[in-house]
Amino acid sequence: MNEDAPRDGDGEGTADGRTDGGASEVGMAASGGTAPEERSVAGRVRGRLAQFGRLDLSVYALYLLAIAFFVFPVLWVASASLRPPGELFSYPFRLLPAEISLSAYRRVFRAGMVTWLFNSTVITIVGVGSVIAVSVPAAYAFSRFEFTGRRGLLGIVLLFQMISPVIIIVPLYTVMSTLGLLRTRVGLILLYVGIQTPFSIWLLKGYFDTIPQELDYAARIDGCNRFQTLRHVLLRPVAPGIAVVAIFNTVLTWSEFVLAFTVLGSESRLHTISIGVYKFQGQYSNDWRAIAAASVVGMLPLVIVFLGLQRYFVKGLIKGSLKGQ
Amino acid sequence: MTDSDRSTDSHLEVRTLDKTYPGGLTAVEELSLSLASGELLVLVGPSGCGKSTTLRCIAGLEEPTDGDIRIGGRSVLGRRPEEREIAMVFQNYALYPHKTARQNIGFGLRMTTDLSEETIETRVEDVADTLGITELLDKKPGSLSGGQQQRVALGRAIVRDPSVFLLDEPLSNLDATLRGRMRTEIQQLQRDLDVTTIYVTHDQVEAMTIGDRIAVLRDGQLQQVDTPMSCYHEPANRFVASFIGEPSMNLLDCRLGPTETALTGTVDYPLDDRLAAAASEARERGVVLGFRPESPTLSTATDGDDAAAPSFTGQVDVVEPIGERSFVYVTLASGPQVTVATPGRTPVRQGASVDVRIPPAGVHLFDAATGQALVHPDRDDQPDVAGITTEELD
Repeated sequence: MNEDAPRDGDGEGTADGRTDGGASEVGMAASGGTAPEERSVAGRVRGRLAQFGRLDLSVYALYLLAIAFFVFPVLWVASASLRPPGELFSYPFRLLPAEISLSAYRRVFRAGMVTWLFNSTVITIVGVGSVIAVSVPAAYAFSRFEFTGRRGLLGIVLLFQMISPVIIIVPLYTVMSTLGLLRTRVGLILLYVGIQTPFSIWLLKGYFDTIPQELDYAARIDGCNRFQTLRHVLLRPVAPGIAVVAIFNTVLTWSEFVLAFTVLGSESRLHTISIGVYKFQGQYSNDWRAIAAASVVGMLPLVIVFLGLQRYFVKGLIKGSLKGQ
Repeated sequence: MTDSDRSTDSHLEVRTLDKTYPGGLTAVEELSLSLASGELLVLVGPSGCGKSTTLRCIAGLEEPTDGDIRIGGRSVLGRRPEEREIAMVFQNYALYPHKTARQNIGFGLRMTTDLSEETIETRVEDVADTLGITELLDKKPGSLSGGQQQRVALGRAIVRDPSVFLLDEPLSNLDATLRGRMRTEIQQLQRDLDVTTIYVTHDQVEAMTIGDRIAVLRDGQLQQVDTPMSCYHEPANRFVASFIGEPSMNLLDCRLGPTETALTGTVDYPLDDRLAAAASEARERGVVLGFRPESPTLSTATDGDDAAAPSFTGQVDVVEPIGERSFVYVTLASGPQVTVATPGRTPVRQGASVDVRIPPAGVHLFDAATGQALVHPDRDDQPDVAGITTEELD
């Protein structure tokens, strides 16, 4: 009974071997020769490999170019933040400044960077957490339950996704004002949840759809109710999807400016990092060094979050690609 | 258990079950089944015939539109799956991918009982021991082979000591060798546990070999419930005749001739008194002549017994040697193609001209319009091996 695994493996091995043999025989029969043909087949394979090598190089060159295109501005900002005053536009251009100065960072932290980071962190954690808390059960229901109006509701959810918040910002401001949610974190978080949930539902529904329904059945036979099925059985297989939703919405929330600026207004103790960066733009002159320093500091938490979650992210992608074996 | 127990005390009963989906699709219609305690019934039919729907209704995963389901004499309609004391094994095993084999098997007990951790652990290990998967308990499904996953899935089902066991195509994800082995193992396990079982499959060979009785389903309607051998030798209708048996029964559309002593149409087949009497019932509607590939002989075979049987000339299209026997596909001069099983050593070549002798003793007749069987060959004439097996093994 227990020597199942090796036997399975053996069985597959021989089956494969036979198939291969068959294929090459057919190939040889078709080309009408034996030994010389075989050699030329090997030659062709080598040629193909060499071709792949060349292809690889050019592909990597292209990758490098693309990466440089996106990384250069980041490097420029980092470089700008470290220059001493007055050296920003020095000529000739040097990515590595001749002299490193942390004065821009000092200025940024004196202006309230810690408060901004704190506010952004609170809003992002609560906001993204709420989005997940709302969209996971919703996606589960859309994926698994048959109810009247299911397709219609899904359509409406998608419709909300298509409305840009900037277009409805004036009425939103009025609504927020009426509800007394202006200049509050709760108001801003509610808006973020409302804006980000539709897409998250769609994305997660896709993940739920890939999980076989039999898993739900098995859970129900094992005595789970719907919520327990979600909690004990489906949550883990759908975790890569949740990671994607978390990363995506964290980036969105962290860098969002227009809504934050509109809702929080002049309440400077609630300001987020994106508003903080904006503050260094004056009416007549922009403090580029401070903007660069604030941007670098604001960027770091995101990079850390992404590096932390990417492991699950990539694992989820690989697992998804091997499904159905 | 005696035979009288079986007939009177049905442990699982499905009464006129209907299942219609909201879209208007009728999956199951007026289905009634009755299983004695400890019996293994195979539900067989082509895909989409409603067999899995029936199983899910019994499990409580779907609510029937109409009808009743009774387990141990009580209706279980409206009860949740775990209250029905059933266990189910799925085609794709549906093991929880993030749990180890141990957690998979123990999960149901954890969710539905107040048993202590130690008790659960002991029961899981006992089951693992029975199935020979003790050393796999700490692995996750992803690192197990198909056969091992299958055993874990069986373990998850039997650990709860169910009163009804539902198996939904449990072997169709396994390769051929393993399938044969697991089939025997499941049969053994079911006998040892003596648990009432419904086994769903689309594979008629599997159905024939595993079931105490088989229920043939088509388009949500029950065609026949009987022992495998009865379904084979006395198919209730044309569908069962063509579905059970490999290769299929030869079925030739005919009608009753003017003198009512012969069939005419695709073949002209003289009828003896017994066949003629049966055929006369469908005189207006047409008659289908049926015979198993094993029944006719080819003229090249030097078999004197059937010299009197009606003979038809034809040409061999294909010969399929499978070892002990060969299947010969012959196109008769009058048009239809028939399959004939011959001993493997019979020298028959493709393109050869042969005479196919169809003895009346092997002929089934069906009503062409309703498909219902009119007459079957006398079973006394044929060795009934499985009749003995099903009776004796209980």
